[in-house]
Amino acid sequence: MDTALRASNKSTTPALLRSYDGLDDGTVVRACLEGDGRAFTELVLRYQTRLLNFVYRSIGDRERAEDLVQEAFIRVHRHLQRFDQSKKFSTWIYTIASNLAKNELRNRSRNPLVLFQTVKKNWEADHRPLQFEDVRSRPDDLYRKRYLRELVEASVAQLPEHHRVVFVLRELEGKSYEEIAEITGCNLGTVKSRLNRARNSFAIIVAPHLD
Amino acid sequence: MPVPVRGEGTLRRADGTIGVPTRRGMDCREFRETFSDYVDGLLAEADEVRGREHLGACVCCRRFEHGYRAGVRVLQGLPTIGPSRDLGARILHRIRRQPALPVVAGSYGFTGALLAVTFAGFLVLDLRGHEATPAPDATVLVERLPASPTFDVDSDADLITVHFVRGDGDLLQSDPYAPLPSLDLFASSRVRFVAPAVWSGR
Repeated sequence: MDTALRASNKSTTPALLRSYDGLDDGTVVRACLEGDGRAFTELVLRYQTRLLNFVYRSIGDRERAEDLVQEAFIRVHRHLQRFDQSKKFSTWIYTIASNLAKNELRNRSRNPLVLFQTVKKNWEADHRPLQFEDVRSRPDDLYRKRYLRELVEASVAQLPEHHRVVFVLRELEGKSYEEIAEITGCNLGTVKSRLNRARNSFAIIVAPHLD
Repeated sequence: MPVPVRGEGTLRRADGTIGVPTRRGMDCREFRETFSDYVDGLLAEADEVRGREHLGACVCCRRFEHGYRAGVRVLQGLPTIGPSRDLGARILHRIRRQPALPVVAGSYGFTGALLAVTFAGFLVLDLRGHEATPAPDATVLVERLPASPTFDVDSDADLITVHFVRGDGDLLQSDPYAPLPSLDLFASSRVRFVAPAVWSGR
């Protein structure tokens, strides 16, 4: 997705962003601090999809996830001078996004709402429009795949919030234990314990269906 | 099948089945407790061997581990969500509306020094201005200043009574931060109030 975005962006603004290709985040951040506006555009391009997916998996609402990603970048821009350049930029930006997601879930638990997506899911099951047959796949295979996807997504959504964030960071974002500890503000022992519980819970929900 | 060891480390599951320890000693409970480390390959070599042997022997844990890995594969294979087309533009638009980032490279020292000198200059001028123009319409009389500090139970500060003599211009009236005059009937034309002062020791 990132590659596609970058490619489409290159076609429209070739001279603007190519100069940052292959440069590490630290260099781009330094350029940004020196007043180069294009450098921040590069950071947005690099991280918007990753952050969006991370926040979406954490809160389960795509529209809201976009709002939070937007807010995360605003905060990054506002506080970039405070960023400790001896550390990884990706960890810092994930920390900001993670805190925003955490706040969102906290607010939601105070003011529970029925998400439109939840309603829409049920609607889709009953009122799916007529579709032409796809000769490449058998309907039962398609159904099973779709069922598994929904099952797995639902399983992740069922995890407690503090377990889910750790689980998503590890399994989907591929973060190390140390990075997760930094992002979530927990110590290493807590991260390991939460991850183990999250993995066990996930397996207990999913395993009977995937045997 | 491994020979079960009786009574040691057995695990009764919710469905009524009992997990049995294998000969090498790892039981279902220990396997689940170390499952995360096992998945990430963080167990010591000996423990990893024990874990693998347990998996070979215990159908339940084998299903559990297989189900977990399959579930994660499905999860990782889920299509990523792309940002809406204008997300980047919206972010950059909001950022452009904000004040620009201060430039940090090298110029901080000079700018900071310049600001400090300017501020100090203003401060000195301001203080001198205050010294040069004493309040023309009010006289401050220190009625009593104790030779040594007196400490009471409630406060470390001793009290100095200060009398303000009202002049022609009503200074206290025009100053919004001036203390309100106390209702002292014996003060006649004077306004009396008591202000705490910290004893300096001199």
